Amino acid sequence: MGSTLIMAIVIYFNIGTKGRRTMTDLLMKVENLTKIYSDGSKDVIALQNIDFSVEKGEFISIVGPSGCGKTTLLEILSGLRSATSGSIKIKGKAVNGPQDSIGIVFQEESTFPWRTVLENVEFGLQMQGKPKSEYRQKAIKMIELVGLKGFENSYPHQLSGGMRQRVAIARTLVTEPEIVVMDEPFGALDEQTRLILGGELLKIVEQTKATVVLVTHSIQEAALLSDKIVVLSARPGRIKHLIKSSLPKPRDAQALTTPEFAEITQKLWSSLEEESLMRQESNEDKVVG
Amino acid sequence: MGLHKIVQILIVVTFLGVYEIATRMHWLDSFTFTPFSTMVLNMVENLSNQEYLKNHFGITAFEILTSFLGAVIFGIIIGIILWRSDFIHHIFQPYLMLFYAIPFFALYPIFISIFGVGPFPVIVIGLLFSMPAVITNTALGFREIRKVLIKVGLSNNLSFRQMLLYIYFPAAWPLIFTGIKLAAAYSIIGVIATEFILSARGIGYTISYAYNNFDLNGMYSSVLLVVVISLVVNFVLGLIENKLYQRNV
Repeated sequence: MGSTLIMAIVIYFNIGTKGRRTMTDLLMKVENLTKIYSDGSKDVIALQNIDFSVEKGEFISIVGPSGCGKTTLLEILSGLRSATSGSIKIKGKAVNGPQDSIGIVFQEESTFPWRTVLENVEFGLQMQGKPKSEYRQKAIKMIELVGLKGFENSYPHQLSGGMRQRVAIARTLVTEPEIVVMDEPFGALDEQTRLILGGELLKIVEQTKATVVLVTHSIQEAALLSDKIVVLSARPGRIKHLIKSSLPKPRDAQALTTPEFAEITQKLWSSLEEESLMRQESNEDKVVG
Repeated sequence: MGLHKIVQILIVVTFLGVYEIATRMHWLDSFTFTPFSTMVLNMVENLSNQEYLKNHFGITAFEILTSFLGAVIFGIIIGIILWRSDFIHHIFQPYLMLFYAIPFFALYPIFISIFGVGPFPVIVIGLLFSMPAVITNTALGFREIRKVLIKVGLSNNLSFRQMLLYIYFPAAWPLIFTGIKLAAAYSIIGVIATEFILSARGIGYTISYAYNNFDLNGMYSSVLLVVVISLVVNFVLGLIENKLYQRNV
């Protein structure tokens, strides 16, 4: 109990003192977002009063116990699902439906098996009706950036899982969306590949100056990549903590050994542990009741 | 060429060689079997005969092609309807599943009384017989598209036309193509079998005519021609599929 209080103070303190950035260019504002699924007879509150903002160039992670509505939140952010109440605004304009300013990288394998790497990456720009000369050039550059040079004419089934996810990331980034939303993009990969790709992702993001909202259940991933971490509570999903990271940039796997990294993971751990315990208790109540 | 390919070819060559010798040496009953080389010669001779080419081969090729193309076009359209409407899909699914369990050709007396004889009923029966394969596979192909691919399309703000052209069709294509291959086989079967009973022209007719008149050479040459047609169609479709398969694993 005491340690929780201290933790809360530490977190508050962190937000108070280190929560300053030189850029304060507000890009996305999420206000009072609530999502209720009604399943005929009863309503399930998936998300409740979610509030946060994203600044331009920021890397935000959303973590939480499983079933807390992370993916729902992400689908609402990307316009694939509508919220029950509340609003999302990008540069002051309300989001309702998919739009070019938001790019999504999905958790599952999402490359088009019938297109080559190059054709996959070209997809978004081609659909936007850009001239071929333009999108081909941009796609080639992006493929080089994600480290797949030489694989332009390969088909996805000829690549490894990690490489396919790079293709998916390149396909999203090449359209230069204002915000890139990622749903556990490395979830299907092993821990080692996941951290290596995470480090590479950071470099790419820095080069393309993309703003990223990442949903993950990996504490390490969140701690390594983010400027700001939103911790959601167990269902109904509410914002439990907002943790800002002071890890120096640019970061790579080296950052895993720094004391700052340990501090952030520690905070995340205790915050999430509490949630998981609470969830278990409420489940036990249900069993008894 | 891989070893298995060589063995595959050897099996066919050996079989034909043994068969050829067995018939030439009269080990096999010569009222039932003719040598393979004779079949080939007769087939070539038939094909150089203007009347056979026009009245039998040409008619059959036309009937197969028309019923096949009809099955593919209508099958895909109906398949799309079954994909878009759950209601219609649920109604027709059991009938489609049962279709090939029915001995279709046992109903031939009905076909004769409804359609009469000639190329038209042959085409209709070939089409009816092959279309369900295309319908089932098209509906299945569209219904089984992975949700995430559709989400990629939606998140890129695609119009329905773009979704159809760039997501739905390419994603469903492997299964649709399986249906098309089945339809090719079924329309050949449908056309030839219907010609046996409902026609006075076509390769199927020449087979049954030759059989009824104890013309062994005529019968085998037409049978061989049917086999050759099937192999050629299969080969061509295989080539097309291989081209697309690369893109669709």
